[in-house]
Amino acid sequence: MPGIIEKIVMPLVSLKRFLMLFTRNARGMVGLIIIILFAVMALGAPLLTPYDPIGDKYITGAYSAPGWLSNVPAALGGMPGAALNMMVGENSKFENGVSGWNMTETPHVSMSYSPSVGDAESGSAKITFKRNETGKAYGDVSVQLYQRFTFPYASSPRKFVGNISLLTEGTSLPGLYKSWEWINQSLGLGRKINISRNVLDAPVLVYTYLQRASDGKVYKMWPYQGQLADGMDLVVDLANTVPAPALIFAVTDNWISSTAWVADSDVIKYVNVTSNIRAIFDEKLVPGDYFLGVNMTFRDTNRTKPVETSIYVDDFRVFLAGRIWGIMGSDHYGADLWSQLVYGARVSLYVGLLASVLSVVLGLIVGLASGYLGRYVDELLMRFSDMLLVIPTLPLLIVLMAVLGSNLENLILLIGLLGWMGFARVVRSQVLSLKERPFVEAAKAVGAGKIHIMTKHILPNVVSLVYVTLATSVPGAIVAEAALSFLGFYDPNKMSWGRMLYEVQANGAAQYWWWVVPPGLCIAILAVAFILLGFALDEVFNPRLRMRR
Amino acid sequence: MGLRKYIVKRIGYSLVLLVLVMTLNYIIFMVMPGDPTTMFINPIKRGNASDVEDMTRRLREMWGINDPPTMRYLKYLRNMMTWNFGITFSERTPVADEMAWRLPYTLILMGGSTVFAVLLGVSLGALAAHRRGGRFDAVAVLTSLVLYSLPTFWMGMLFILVFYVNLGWLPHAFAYPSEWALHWPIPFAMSSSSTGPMGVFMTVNPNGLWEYLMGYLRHAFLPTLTLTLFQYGGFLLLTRATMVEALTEDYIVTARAKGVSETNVVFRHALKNASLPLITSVALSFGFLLSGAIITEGVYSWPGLGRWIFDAIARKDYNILQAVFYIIALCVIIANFISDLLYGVIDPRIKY
Repeated sequence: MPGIIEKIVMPLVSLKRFLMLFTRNARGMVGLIIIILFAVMALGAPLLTPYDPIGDKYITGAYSAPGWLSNVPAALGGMPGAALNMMVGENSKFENGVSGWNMTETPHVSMSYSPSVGDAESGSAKITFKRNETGKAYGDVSVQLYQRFTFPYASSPRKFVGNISLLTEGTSLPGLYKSWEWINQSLGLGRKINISRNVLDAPVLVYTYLQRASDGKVYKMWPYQGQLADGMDLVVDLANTVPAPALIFAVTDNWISSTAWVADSDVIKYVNVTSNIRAIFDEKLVPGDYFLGVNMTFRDTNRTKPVETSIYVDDFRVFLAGRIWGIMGSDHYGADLWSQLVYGARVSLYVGLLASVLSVVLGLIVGLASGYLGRYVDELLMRFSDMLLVIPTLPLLIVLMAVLGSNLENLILLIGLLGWMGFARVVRSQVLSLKERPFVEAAKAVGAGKIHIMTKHILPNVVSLVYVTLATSVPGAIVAEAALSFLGFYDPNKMSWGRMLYEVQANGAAQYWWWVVPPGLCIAILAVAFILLGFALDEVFNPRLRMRR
Repeated sequence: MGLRKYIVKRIGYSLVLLVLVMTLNYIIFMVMPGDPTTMFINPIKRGNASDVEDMTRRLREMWGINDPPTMRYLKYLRNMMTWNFGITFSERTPVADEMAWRLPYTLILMGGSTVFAVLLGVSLGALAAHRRGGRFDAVAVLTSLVLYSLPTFWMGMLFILVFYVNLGWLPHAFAYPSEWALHWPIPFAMSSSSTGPMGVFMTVNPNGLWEYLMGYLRHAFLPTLTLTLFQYGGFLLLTRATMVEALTEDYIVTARAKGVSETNVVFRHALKNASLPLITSVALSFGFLLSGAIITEGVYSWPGLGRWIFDAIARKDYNILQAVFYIIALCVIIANFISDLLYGVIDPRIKY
């Protein structure tokens, strides 16, 4: 059964011979291993990182350095003892009762757990002030809900984001309360709304604070007037220079959720961040114990009747963004750079491989047709390819991207459609010499058609060129993709290495080496790997090259 | 076929190519979305819709956008031939004038880096081929492979990181110190400063030729280095490949047998014969180089054609793009034409 042997066994034998030759080629194997590593990185991206490279912002502080720098001595540019991300506020959502939280012992005030009430999720701490007797008011009654935590790092955190949600209820008078007006103004709404609301008999003044355990110094966090950030109800600045009182909760309405921000001194300079709270981390920072707490002052003035006011506390936590983060640090949004790099491998491999397949197939078809058919077909195709060669490729790519819109499919299509000319010329010159060979003559004599000769007699002789060019044209496509992304023509839904560098350039962040170096290095390594692979294939397929070495 | 006939044929071929390029250039910008008139009319300021419509119509008439496509095409061809590139949509200045002051910057960058790259690439490539298989060969091939595949913009950013951010030796943007009042092509002013209308100290000028030259050289250094490294790898690999072939030829053995010194063997016998593909490659690199220039000029804020193209794309300024594409294509076509003719001069075996 010679047919079967020819069809099945012979290819296997030649494959085995090919593998034997290829595995002997050290440079080719290095290239292949690098490509496989990147392919694993691309395919296993969701396993390598839990973060979405585009959606997950504000994971940590802006421009955090790579985490491993904490193990490098400072003399070598390391950051030993640098702060890591830290969430302060154990059981901050009050899911497990009030465990972890303490309240100062104060007469007339009691704390209980309220399992059904909560901001977004059920469960909150309920602090109740109660006076049964009439004819005598107690004045201001202060109470603190607090938690002790340890700040273990030798350097201050990069950013400080705090949150607390509050809701009040209790005995009240129907009426107009001025404070509502004030709150509206403080929210930056710019209009006075005088609405009749039930107003608490004993309104509550609230501020949050951090307290150093060693000397008991308190750093208050005050509400900041008139600044709204997206997605936040209320922005609280921690500058104690603002003479405003703490938030007064006088109406029994909705949950008020506040987010407190402190920016690090060397990143973002807010107007009022000469703050107390920055001092605790910047100037007098010692690793040690601190208290995170909320101070509630019940203002009891109405002595004509018994009074009861409750305040629910929920989602009380402070996030201390560190100075180092993850494997590769973070970008200007505090997004994880490592996940961007990992997902970027997908785009580079995808674009590189598909675009090079497209351009090689096109080049093969054009080269075959032009070389074998000759005459007008040749003239037409070669003039067309000359025309494309003469026009500068990158500006043409940019203009076409602007016409068609930036997405990955267009990118692949354009890089492929503009990259076939060189290969077509090579194939054409091969075909020109092949078609004068006796076996083509013989096939013609037997009466084989042009298509048959091209596919069955000429194609097998240029197929080794195809493999080599497939490998060596990938780097061009990868770099072209990176260049287009770098110029801003990236797919908005995909993170790529070029886009990472675009972000560096757009944000003037050239000084952060952990953001600049890795994407370009990956592009270069992957590109060189494909070139090495191509050279190795070339040596395997061309015995002449092998002999020379 | 005699030389004259060959030249006539090449000229005819180049002209056909030119017309094809011009046509493609025309078609691309025909289909480009967006109406440039929208950038000139503020609908809110204009008040009612009919005013806006009227204004749009008049602008379109003025710019000839309302003509039928064939008419526009013929007008376009005529304009390109007569170097009448129209006005820039955004600045309303003649494209030719704008191009005239930008072109020198790009030419200096491209010309300088190409010369350096060719010198470096050819000499190191010849040396690598001569010592084929040795350590120098391996290092040269590897470094040029790496440089060849590095993204230009990344190289530029690394240089900025090292030489500007870390070492502080070199500036990272523009072609001359930003405080200079006078720049290209005025050499330098007599006084070192000029005063503004209120007698306020405004700007500084270079004190003499040395400062003037250094100002430019310091700014040109990093972009030129980037573009040189970007091109050098390609030239090295090409030279090495053709030299390896040439050094195995019989006439080299003959030359060595005659007792010709090794330097002469490599550079006069082998390199001269291996230089043909190099000439084509240099000629074709003009278009290729512009791609590098767009990015490099972007990274270093270099005020040349590359940046201009990029800004023009963002502003949909078709006139600029058409003109630049045309000029570049023209340069490449002319360079190809010259390289074809040079073949015969360098290699007398070639008969036309």
